Amino acid sequence: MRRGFLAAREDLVKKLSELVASRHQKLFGVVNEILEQALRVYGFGKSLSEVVDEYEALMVGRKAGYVLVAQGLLYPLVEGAYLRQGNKLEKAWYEHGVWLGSYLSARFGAEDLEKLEKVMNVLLWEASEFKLTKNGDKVTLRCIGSTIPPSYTSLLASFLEGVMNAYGLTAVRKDVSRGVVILDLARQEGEALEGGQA
Amino acid sequence: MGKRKKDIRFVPVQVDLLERIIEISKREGKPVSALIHEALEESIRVYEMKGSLREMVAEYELLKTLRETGAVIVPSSILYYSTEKLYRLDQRALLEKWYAAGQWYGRYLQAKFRGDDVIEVLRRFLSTCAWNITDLAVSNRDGEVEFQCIAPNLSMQNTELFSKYLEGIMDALGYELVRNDTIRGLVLMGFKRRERRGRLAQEPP
Repeated sequence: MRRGFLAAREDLVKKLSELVASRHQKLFGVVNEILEQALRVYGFGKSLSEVVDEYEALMVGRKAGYVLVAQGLLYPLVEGAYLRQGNKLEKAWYEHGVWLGSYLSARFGAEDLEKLEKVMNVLLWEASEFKLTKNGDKVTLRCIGSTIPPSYTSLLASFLEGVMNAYGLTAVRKDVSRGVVILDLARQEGEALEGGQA
Repeated sequence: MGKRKKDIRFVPVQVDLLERIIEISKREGKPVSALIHEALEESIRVYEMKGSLREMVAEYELLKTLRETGAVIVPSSILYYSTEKLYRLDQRALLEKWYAAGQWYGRYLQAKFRGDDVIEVLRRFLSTCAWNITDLAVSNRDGEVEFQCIAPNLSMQNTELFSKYLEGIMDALGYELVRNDTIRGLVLMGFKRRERRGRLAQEPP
């Protein structure tokens, strides 16, 4: 095995050396493993930072009590329950949205809509698009997923409204149709929005 | 502000890895130093968050595979609410659906991980992707596979659905159920490899 040298920022090498030493590992082996994994991730067509961000969001979901289930099981199940108890389910989804929004805003900061967008993009991976666009005091939420059935879309809309309420934003206009949720949101009185584009 | 020369340190690495990083930097149009610094920064983040970059990437890969199968991430409370409501109304149909979904998933695993130890792949999937299981043990000896899954938040109905799903997976992998001591929040199941009649008939006595 031929050895070469890479030039790296001293602060990073120092920090890594400390972590490596605390685990009784060797810097040479650990740096090689880091490069190997970075190369593996490039093979997925992503950068390491994208993968770490996504993984972090998935672990947020896991800690928040989320589970993974096959679409083929979930959608008919929700459809069946929705036909029988639509209002109750919408309320439950809304309440869960408020809970998750409160959890995320406590964890990442109530003003950090960019982080919220990143986390929701991962947790709603069945959607092809989840976007938050700021325009002054207003925010537009767009969530699109062509495979999402009507009943699940309605519940998702309630859930997303709950999440945004926890961030101090109220829906002033809703556009919900199969696979599409668009919410125009305005800041609740007494709340100020900072920053520009999410 | 740029880093001065003295703020740079040289770290020994395998040359072949460095060469592959250089290839990617050319392909992506990014400086080698930017790729290396990103890799080091992110791995420090992972070390602080998870402990091992290798484990994190392996878990991420499994979750990505599950996404490809059409899995959805859903709040457990919402899922369980719906299943419990419907379980009371149509238990049999629901159990059949879970079993069929398990069979599909078992076939998928077999096709995707052809040549691998598929029981080990299933164990990794369950420990990475079955977020409701807090403790998992799988033993595989002489064609007999035992599962012990602890999921304290599962109701009796959801425990039964999960065990049916697992039974479906194992059926597709060529195993039959020989023991099921499942109780609420605890799945204890034993499977035995089915004899392949066609092959046995051809084998010499």
